[in-house]
Amino acid sequence: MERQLAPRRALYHPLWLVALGLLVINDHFLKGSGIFPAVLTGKLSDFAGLLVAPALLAVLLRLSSRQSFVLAHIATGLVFAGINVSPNFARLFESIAGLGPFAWKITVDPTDLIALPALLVSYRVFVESMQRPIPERPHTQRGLIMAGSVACMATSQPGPPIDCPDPTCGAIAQEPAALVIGNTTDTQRLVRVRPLKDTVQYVCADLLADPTKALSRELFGPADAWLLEPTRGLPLLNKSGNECTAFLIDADGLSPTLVAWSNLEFPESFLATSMNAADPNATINLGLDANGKLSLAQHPAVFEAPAVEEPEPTGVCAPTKPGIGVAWSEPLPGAGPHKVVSIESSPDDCHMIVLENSPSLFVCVPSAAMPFQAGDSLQIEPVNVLGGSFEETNGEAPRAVGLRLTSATHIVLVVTGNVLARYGQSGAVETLTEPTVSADRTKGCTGSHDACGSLSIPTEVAYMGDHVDTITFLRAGSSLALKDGYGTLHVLRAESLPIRDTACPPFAEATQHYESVLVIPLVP
Amino acid sequence: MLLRSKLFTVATGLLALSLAACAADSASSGNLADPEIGPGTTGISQAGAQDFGLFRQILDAGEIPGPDTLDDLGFFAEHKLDYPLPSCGNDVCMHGLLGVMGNMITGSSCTLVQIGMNSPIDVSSLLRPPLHLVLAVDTSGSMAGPAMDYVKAGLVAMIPALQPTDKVSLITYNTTAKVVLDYANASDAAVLDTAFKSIYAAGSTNLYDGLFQAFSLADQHFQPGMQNRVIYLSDGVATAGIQDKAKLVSLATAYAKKGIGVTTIGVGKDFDVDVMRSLGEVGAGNFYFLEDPKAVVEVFTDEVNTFLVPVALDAKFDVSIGGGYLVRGVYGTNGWQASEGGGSISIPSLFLAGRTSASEPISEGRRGGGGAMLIEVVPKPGAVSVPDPYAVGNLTFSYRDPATGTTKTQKANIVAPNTPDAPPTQGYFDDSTVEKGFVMLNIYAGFKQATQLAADSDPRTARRTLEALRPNISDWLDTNPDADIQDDLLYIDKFIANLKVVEALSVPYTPAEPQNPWPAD
Repeated sequence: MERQLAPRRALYHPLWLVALGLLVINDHFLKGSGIFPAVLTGKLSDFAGLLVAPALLAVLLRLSSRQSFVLAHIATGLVFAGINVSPNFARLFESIAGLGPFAWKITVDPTDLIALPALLVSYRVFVESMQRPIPERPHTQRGLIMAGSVACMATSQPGPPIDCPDPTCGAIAQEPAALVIGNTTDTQRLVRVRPLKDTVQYVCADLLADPTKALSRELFGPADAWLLEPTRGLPLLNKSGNECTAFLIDADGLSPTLVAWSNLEFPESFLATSMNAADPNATINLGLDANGKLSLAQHPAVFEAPAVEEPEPTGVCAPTKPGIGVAWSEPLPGAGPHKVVSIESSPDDCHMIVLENSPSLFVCVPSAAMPFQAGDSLQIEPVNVLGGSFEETNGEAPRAVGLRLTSATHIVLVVTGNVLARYGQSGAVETLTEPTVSADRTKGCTGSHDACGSLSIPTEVAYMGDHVDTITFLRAGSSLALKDGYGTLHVLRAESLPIRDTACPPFAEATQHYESVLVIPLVP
Repeated sequence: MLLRSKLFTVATGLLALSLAACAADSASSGNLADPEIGPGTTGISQAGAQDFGLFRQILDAGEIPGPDTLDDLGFFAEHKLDYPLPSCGNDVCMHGLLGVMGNMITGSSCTLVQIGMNSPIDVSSLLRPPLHLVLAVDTSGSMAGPAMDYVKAGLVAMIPALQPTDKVSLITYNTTAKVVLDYANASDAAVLDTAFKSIYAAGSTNLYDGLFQAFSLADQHFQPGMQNRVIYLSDGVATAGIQDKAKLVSLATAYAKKGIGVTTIGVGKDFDVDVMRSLGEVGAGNFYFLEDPKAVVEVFTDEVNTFLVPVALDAKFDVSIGGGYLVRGVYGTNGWQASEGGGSISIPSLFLAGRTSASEPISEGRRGGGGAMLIEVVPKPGAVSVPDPYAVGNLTFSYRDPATGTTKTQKANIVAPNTPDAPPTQGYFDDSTVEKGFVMLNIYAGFKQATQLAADSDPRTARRTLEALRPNISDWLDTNPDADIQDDLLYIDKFIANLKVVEALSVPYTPAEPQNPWPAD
């Protein structure tokens, strides 16, 4: 049978007592004294702390089995590794530790992981001592617990700023970063860093081609603000899951400035956040220019901020106005068939279809695409397009939703997404071939930003092949009557949204966005 | 050692408190006499937001308002500016005024053109055409309680303010919309009273159905000789029907072109401010916030004879800026469209504002007033070599008279006493009312910046911004007593007090300096 462990006995072991003494002396006397190199004093605390912490944890949690003592070591090791590898975890831990009587300041340094083997020593030495009976000394024991707790909590306290022009006088702080904003002024600066909103999706080729014109200020979310000491750097991380990253940065005295880069050009690595050891290629200096004005130094990732206001393109490049497009009310009243009591239309082409014994259905389509009338029997069904081959998506996976209204005389197919309305989605009994469709951005149009900041570039859709006599180009607001009973296509919106806020109309989840209606006559 | 505190904040707006310097510290009144003030100088308000009541209510409740709760149009509309007597010969007169001053941070020049309007029409003797009023009332479950009580009380209180020739329709909407009254005579007070008092709350919120049916009903009974208007009340966001806000706005825009306007009234704190404000703007109407019983009385009775009847339609200001200047920013309107050498401001409709003088005492709740539009211009590089460096700009104002359909026009030239590169050291104001305009803009900028900073967990810089603003406003009030600005100061103090409460919950840090509104200077 396994013997019960008594963790309190480990506190009397000479190794634990030496480690505790080292921790106290090192943290409060040796660090920053210049007697030993900073690298040595930094690591000394790590080794000592890893010897003190597991046994203390076991005592405080009243652990009494080998398994639980192993878990105490694992937990200690995980936390130690976490705060030395992940800046976010370190900041989180600082916040939690800050709830106690001592503020913590953790320097993220993966090289500290070299101290982890101390946990093995701790386990081997202390598990044995926990089984060996010793005289009980409750007062001494309480004193050791208190001393150990205070020593552990008081470690990693932020000290006063050290005037350290020589990089060899202390360990060089390194943090994961793609780029670093370095404060080259002699005063502390409050720097605000605004990332793109989480709801913003973008094509990096478009963004990086001209970041100032491609982006708009509305696309950036709330800022993270940092107090940046002189000679210190602020790490900027790559946007995960993307090939490029953009931030809008400003500071007290610094006008908003855009920073954008390719994640391939500036991959994340451990970069020095001390200007004494800065990587010049990955550091953007924040300093005073010749006029004494705060600015970000020239760097391939630094650009002028997007304009506050910009003139709207005209002619073929004019954007489709908000409010133009298809829409329908939800929830749908069920497939039906429903008898149409009446139809009322608004001047902006929305129609209230009053149904017998069901709530009215509202549908916004051009008047020419509303062939129904009172007395019709109507089937109402949702449409989802999640697969298939559609050239107009320009290589992206098809994603569209729609509404199908079927009467004895017509099928009206309303579709919104990166796919245009097709006969194949109509559910008609008769099958027809599909025309060849292609889509491209309208030549000469660089796009414009809508109220949410999305970049919209008008798209031109070409129809050819079956059901058309000759190649026909369609833009937003145009219609095409296709032959052989295919129907009449109304294109309300056709645009490319390479940079878009998906939380805003037209809520596009793909780069290409269309809103179209196909009216198919069932009676020749 | 790097010592950094992580805060959450947002980069602040382009405006900031140092605008106060333009008005308060660095300039004195110009050489023109103050305008004659008296009966007949009725203010003019634009379609759109008419108050910043939601902002005030949040501060009154000890909370911190978000940036979206405040817009310059609504804020300015609660300030009465006494312009020169309206002697242009039209129902609406434009006044283009100039202010030049240095700002307190960099000392560089700040030049502002203030566009104001007033009317010789006396509100108390205003004869309005008969109305067809379509009331669309949100009866979703969230309206139950005080919100519904306010609305019912307001509707009932409105009955005596209607004229016998007026017509009233009532639509209630929750999951779907329902016609309760169809073109009833306003003289049938008992019928209206019964209908209004029978409203109850239940179900979800189908904003689109309610607005669609209200417009449809107004359209069915449309008569050119009547004022045809929808009053649209809501306390929430759409949860059923078409929920795309752009479709609501598109609907209101389309009916406004047919002559059917919409006035929106937000109830409570959770209504869709953006939708209600936008509908009021595009729908040739106004947007009100119903925060308490006082506001109920104001909106439904005091102003029922003015806010429902536009005095001008399709108002347009063409702004041509002098060769020595560039437009930097435009405040107090949402209708600005920039173009080469200036721009234009389009406003679907203009209304009479309730107050006739800035010296009138203000009551609780909405203050009315009318507001102003401010165009900030900055010297163009090489401005001295232009043909007329003293010319700041030309304004052309045109609108359609709702009664006659004729187009009225008025022009104004703005000329500075200085060239763009040599602003007067003591500052210059065409008129003392411009000075108040700058103080208003300054307060708005301070509020806007503080809300943004607070929204991003930087309450200390937000407070510092307002605390830097406060003494300038207080000093200005010492020599220029003004009820509107005095009330604004009260809300600056409330904002500061509320921020202190929030600060107590955050980790201490050193706040940043308030930002310079002219970073390129």
